Amino acid sequence: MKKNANNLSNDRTGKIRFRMNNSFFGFFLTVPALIVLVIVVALPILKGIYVSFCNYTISNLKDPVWNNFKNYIKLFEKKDIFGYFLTTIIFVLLTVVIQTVLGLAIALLLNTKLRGRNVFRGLFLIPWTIPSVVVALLWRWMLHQQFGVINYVLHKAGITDTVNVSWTLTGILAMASIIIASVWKQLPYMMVMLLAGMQSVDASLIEAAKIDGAAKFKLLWHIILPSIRAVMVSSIWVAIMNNFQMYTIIYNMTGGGPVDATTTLSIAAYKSAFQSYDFGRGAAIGVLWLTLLMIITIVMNHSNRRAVNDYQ
Amino acid sequence: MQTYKKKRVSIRSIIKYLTVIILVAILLFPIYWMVVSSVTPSNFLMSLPPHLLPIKTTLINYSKIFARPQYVRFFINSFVVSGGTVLLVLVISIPASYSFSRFNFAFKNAIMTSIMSVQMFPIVVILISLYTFYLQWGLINTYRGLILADAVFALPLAIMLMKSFFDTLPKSLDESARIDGAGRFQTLFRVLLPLTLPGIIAVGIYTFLSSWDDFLMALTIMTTDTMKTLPVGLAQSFMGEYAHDYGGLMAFSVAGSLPIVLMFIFFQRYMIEGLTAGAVKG
Repeated sequence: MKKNANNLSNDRTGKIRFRMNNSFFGFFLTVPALIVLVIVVALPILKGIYVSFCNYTISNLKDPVWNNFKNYIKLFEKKDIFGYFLTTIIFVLLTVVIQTVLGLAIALLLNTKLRGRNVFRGLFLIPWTIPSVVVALLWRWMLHQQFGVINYVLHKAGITDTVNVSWTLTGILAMASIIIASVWKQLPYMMVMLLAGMQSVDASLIEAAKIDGAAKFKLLWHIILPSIRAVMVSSIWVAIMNNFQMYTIIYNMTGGGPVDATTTLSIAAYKSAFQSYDFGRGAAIGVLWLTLLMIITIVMNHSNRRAVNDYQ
Repeated sequence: MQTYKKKRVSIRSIIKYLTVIILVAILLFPIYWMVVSSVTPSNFLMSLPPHLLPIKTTLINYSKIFARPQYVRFFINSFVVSGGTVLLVLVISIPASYSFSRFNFAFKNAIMTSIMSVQMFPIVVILISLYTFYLQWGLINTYRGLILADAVFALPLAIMLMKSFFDTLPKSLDESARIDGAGRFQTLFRVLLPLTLPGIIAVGIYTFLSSWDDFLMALTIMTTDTMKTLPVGLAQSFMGEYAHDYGGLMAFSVAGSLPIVLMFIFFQRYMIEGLTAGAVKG
């Protein structure tokens, strides 16, 4: 009955029928994306949250058994989880801050009157295309204890007193080495995004400020930074998410060591699941990590609603 | 007075160019070092001081790799998986982004937000359960399985990029196509898609890049040697026989990066346009 009534009104004004069909058609076009999303992300996440409350190892792969939060209790009792959180936050914070500051500086330099800017921009972007595994192995070779070129240069420059610095021996050096390699790969992307943001800043605004005699720093602080705020926030957000996920470079450079000095949440979760085959513990680490990310997202959304919405 | 000013400006610009060139040199040095190491015989590589200029150039490191059918297999697998991922991503993302750009429907914003938030979910947690699902479905050690997983994680950016390209096309185009009697699919394929070709190229290359780069999912899903992709093969050869043969390892690394770097240089314009189009919407 209702359907008939609808059709009637549609026949009277062709326009309404047109719009109704369109909204269904619009939804229909997104169905393939939704299906793969449900299969590869939604179902596994839901199951992951469930098994994080279970005893779930290689021996009972078919039937996980509920174990009363034992995975979580053990993580907090042994205090491992605090170390993973701290390591992750140090790694993410330093990697993102360093690449943002350097990226901003290089973008400012390239945003001036410069012949061949596009060529330079292309050259700067090349490290971003190098596969992460290659980045890790290449930096491992450059930081090689005996024959590493960086140790040699640092020694020649008088910065270190030995030519055989072992970058994997102490926690601080190991952390430094994974941050250097990650920044090297990610810096170009950050720089290009910030540069694109700067190039869309109204040139007359900058001219006007220059005529008013604004100092370089004031120009940056009061005109350029506010204008690229949206791009900057979204690029930083992407960088934070990516570095939380970072596995390849860390695993292939330090393997999470020495001891647990570079074991981030992602390394810890993967090792529990696929090296110790304790899937429940791995999932529990992941769920805690997801909770932290959600808190960060809510806070960022709250303080920066407009910018994050722009990105999405 | 005027000549003095002119001279000052040119000195400043010389300093500026020098700074840019030095920065480029520092950032590209690791790549230079990778290439130099790959053509240096191992006994020269393992000596001090390091030879900053290539000496005794040799291709022996490369011939060692390509003499091994197993290593050639890694390349083929990577090409198949990355190519397949690009196809799947385009097939899924073009209709979806067309829809987000042109139509209004219930829960549209909720659907867009959930697609965009994919990159937030810890991949490791997803992999733990995905691995057991894949075991049940027989997708472990198949191209299909890895292509599906790689595609889903490339989708958010692909859809966002494609949508921003569709957004740049005026709606009057759709309307005039409709007046000419074109259906909605015809409008999409005959009228709009040819105009978004730069966007399609950007999405395709970005997807190829991210799939070629994937290590974690390939490591988990491809467990037999014949199915492994390049990043996993490369990392594991390092743990194994190349443990101290850095020349061979660097040759392997150069060969593994070359397809991607060449692709980037060739399509650079589209890539940069595509990457920045989504972020800078004014």
